[in-house]
Amino acid sequence: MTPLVPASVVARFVVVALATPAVLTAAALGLQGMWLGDLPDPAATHWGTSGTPDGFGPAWTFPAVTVGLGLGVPLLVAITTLPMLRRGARGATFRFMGAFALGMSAFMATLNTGLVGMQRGLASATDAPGVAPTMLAAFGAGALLGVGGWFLQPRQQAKVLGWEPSAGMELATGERVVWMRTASMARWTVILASAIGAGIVGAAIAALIAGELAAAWLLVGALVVAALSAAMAGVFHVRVDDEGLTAVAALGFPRLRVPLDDVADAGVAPVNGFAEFGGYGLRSRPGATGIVLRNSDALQVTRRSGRRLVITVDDAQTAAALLTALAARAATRKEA
Amino acid sequence: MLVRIDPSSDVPIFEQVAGSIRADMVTGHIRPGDKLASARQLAASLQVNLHTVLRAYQLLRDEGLVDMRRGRGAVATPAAGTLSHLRSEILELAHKALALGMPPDALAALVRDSLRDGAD
Repeated sequence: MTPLVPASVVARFVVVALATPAVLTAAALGLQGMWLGDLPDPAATHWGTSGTPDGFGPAWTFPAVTVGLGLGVPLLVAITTLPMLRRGARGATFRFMGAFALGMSAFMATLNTGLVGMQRGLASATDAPGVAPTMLAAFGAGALLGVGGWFLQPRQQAKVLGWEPSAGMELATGERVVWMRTASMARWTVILASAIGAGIVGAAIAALIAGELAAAWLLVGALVVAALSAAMAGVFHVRVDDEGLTAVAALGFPRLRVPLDDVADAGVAPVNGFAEFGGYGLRSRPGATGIVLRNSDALQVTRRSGRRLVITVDDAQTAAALLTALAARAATRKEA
Repeated sequence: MLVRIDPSSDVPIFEQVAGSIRADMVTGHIRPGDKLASARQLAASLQVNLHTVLRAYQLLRDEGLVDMRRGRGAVATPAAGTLSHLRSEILELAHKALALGMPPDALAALVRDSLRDGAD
């Protein structure tokens, strides 16, 4: 089926990521507003794993969360993504971000409206029924509208702003060259993460002194998980040599590789982690894999399949030039 | 860091490795405090003997450009940073010598001699 009017990527993105979430949020707020007066005070705002309410708060929590996340996330996505789309950037990652914004909005609107609806007329919030059906409905709505949002937007031929294939550096016959560099987070991110880590340690010690052994263990566990993910996705050793492009996390795992004969092209372009990958660290999105540790110039390599690998690393220019030259040399050697 | 070696050259491999790293210090691609690649990894990538790379690192250590600590590997010293201050002068000298058709070895020998004279 061909649409009568060619679908504009930007217009469809605005409909999916911004307009529809705004309408959903408004509708949810309308329903919640009608029902809010019938809710017990305080209302049940959190349910334990057994399905019975274990957290209570004021009724306005629901509209606040509906707006905060149901509209806040789409706004955040639009603010970071829309300017790039308008300047001509294209890619499946943008399509995904738009669909994600809509799915998130649908999830939040359904969840909070459902939670308000099922507590109408209750004498006490402790009488609130189980949360599972509402949760299921919210996940269903989120998934359905997320998938719908994906297909409502046209397929996009990947186009990275400011990207040009590197011309490649001069190599002498038989010359062996290696480029190596450590990709890491921006300094302020490291400081912030360390401060949070120190805070968790402090909280764990405080909990230990207070005799809250379970809380202390929980905090230590959280710290270990955070440290492990930082070690697995916070620092990468990147190198370009006769084996191609290799990126290994500081821990030795995970390891990503693009062999020379899989390099379609290599170049440098700025990357915005949130707009293009929905966040930072080791990211995977339709059409691209990213080692995005900050917003900066990034080495961008296209595989023969068309999939891109994006790595934020200093001196990416040299890496792209060397990878291009080595790939070209490997190709001529294979022909010979 | 970018390391290039040409096995067909008359210059020993370890000197080529050291020269590449020195050039990275001049351009500022390696700054004081930066950790150099592990000798084992560099040797594997260049397909040369581990001892060749270690010899290059030792040469740089003797020149005061690199600090070698057990468990921490090779780290660029503050002296590596001062190399980048010479960048424009080195380029200028090289351009002049090239224009005059002076062989690189002769220029290097002249620079070495003038350094020795200056030390007297």
